[in-house]
Amino acid sequence: MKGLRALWLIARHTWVEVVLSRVFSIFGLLAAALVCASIFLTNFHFGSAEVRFINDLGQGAISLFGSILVVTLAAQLFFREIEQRTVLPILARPVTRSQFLLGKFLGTLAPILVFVLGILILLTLLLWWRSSSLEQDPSVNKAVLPLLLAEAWTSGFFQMLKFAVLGSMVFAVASFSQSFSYTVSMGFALFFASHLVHLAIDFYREGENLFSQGLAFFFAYALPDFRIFNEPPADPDFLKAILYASTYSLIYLFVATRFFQRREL
Amino acid sequence: MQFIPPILWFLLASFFAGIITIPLRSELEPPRQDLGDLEGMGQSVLIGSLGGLRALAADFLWLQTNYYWQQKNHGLTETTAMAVTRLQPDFPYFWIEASRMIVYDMPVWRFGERRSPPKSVEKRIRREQAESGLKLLSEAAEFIPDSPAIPAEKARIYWTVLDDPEKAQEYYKIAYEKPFQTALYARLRALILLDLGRKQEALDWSRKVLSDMNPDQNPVQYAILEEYVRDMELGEDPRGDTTVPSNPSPAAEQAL
Repeated sequence: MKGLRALWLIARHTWVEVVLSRVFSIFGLLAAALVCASIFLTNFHFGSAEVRFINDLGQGAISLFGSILVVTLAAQLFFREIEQRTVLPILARPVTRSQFLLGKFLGTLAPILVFVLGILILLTLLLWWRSSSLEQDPSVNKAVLPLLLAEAWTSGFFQMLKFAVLGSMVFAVASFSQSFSYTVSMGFALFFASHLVHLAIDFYREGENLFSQGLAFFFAYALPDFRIFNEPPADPDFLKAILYASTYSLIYLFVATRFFQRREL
Repeated sequence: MQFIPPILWFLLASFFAGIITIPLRSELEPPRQDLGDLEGMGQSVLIGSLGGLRALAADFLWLQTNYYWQQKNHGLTETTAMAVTRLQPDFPYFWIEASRMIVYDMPVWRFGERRSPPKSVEKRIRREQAESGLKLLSEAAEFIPDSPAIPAEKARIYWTVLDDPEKAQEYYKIAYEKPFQTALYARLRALILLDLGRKQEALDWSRKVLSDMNPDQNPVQYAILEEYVRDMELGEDPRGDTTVPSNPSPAAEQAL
């Protein structure tokens, strides 16, 4: 229980740091502004229901700003403790390095969850308002609101899984990296690369020789496929998605704790 | 451990995670989408990462497509239209509008200043563009297999451009059999069968469609089809005195 208490205290402290940080406030407000602005951009939707356009934009805001928050906050909070040497008194107590790292990870993820929930609630209100305003207009192609809301919340859940994997990747890199900028750069590089693993899969399937196929196979499976989280199907298998995300997250966190154990502070 | 760079350990651990999750990934991954046609890796990277913002990006790119369409720029219209379908493959609208630009507008641009080229040249150009449009629609069917609009558009191309009523009636049948069972496609198939001289088949088909329809859900279409069946049973053409060419223009087709 002492271990859990230490974890909880570090996570709670990290939560407070994140919530008070300017990065979190700015990107949170930007995401909310983009979602609200969607009702003014509906003239630009073609061939789709207006409410579906609003939903798509909301999902885009969660994905884009959430990813930026995860990468920057994870790296910032980790390196701040090390650069300011505040990690030393923490580790002088009966707190293991693993507890410290996991506490930081959980404390970073919790506000991201609040961010996602906040945007989803805003999106729900917007979709409900727009849908009832459009009820009397038969010329407008309307999507069914309950289905759309289910889709929005399912997508939000999958985005949260993605943030958990991305966050654990960043912590893994941070655990052996010597600088904040390297960690952030690698974090974004891994973020983009994880969206493009399907190209490596295609290259592997079409490979002409053993060497290129082997190389393509390695890159195809060296990173998680973030398309799984960006494009959940109509009837998603939540359990398998959670298992997929958890496997990657646990392995990255294991790597992070192993490197952090050996790190000189 | 100290001789292997940490980033390599990271990749190896990640690869291990990838191997043990292969069965999960194969079940969870979405349908393959060819982003490789987009110019350069840069666009693929950006578009792959956009997530839900792809809808907005597609809409702005569609505006650009229409700008190039106004300029009658064949190459850029086709390139940007294709890019839009890659961004939003789930929307039939983009696939259909792109195919209409390719099939109906681009032949006229290709004729150039000579608005009345030799018939053989016109036929060849229209056929080439129609085949490009059909290829695009076949790709659309992989992403939106339940959409009736895609096979219906193919039917229209076969009927109005390629003068192949046999294929047209086949595709109208496919379109009708999709979810939502649009009665218009069923009626068009019946008319094509009549034009092909297959009157009994047209009657049997119309009766079957009528028996599947709910008169309360779509009373107008039900009434029209009922009249079609009555006329065919009497050996009359349901189009009555209205002379409808065997290859109606899209506007005439809409009026039906």
